[in-house]
Amino acid sequence: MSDIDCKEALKKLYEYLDGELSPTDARDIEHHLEICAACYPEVRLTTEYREALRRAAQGQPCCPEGLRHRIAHIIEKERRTPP
Amino acid sequence: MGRAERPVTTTEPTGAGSFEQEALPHLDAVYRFALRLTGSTSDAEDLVQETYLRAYRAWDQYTPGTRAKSWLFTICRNAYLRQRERDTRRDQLVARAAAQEDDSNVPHNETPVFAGRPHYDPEGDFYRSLVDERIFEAIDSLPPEFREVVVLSDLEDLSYQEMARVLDAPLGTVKSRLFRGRKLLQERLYHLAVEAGYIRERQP
Repeated sequence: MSDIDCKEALKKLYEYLDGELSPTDARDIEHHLEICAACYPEVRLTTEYREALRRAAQGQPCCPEGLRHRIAHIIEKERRTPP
Repeated sequence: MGRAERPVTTTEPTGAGSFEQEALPHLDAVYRFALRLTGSTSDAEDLVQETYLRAYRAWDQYTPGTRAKSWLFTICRNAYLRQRERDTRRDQLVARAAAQEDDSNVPHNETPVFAGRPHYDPEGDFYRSLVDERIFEAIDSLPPEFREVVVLSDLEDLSYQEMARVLDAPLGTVKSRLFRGRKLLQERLYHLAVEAGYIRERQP
């Protein structure tokens, strides 16, 4: 494990939270965040942002029924049309 | 309404790996993506219809087992960009000034305005007070190149690699757009929270 500083940790914070880092890099960041009080507010801020977006994502509309049926009809028509 | 995906039933029998089984269950996701790209329900419906027709006709080019959702997003985005190009060309004939639209959407400041954390709510408690409509309002106000990465990542949960394929852009570009897009969105959400009175800024 290598020691990283705040700048490095915050630079890779999104990638870490997005699960895009290698296990080694992820461990380095975790280790830094566990012991660094200065990074804590930024981590909280980013986590709250992600939670808010995740919440909003769940409240998004579904495809309207009319469109769903229109598409099924179009596909059906395409299937019956000889190439 | 939730995020549950509902299959469309057709009169033909459908097997594993068929268009019905792989592509149609993503209708909700494609519709949501189209809605964020176009900003209008009727334009989104037209775009989804075009996407699925194109996807059906190109189904033999889809590699089974790869993620159909991001393949459909690619088709949807390409159809949207083509439509936008057509609109731009038409607008240019009417008024040449409209051609400047894309340029004015690009932020001039490369540095994230938010630059880390807000002064009056350093740990971001304000996010909990923002209703979904305000969040979508802020997302929709982002310049297109940032809006699409934020939507694909934070709302639709695509990986960086999948986004790179959808956007036909290098991984580094995806990462930097996502970073800037998120910072921009955080800043806008913060200002919305201030406007709504969730955060009281101190007088100078």
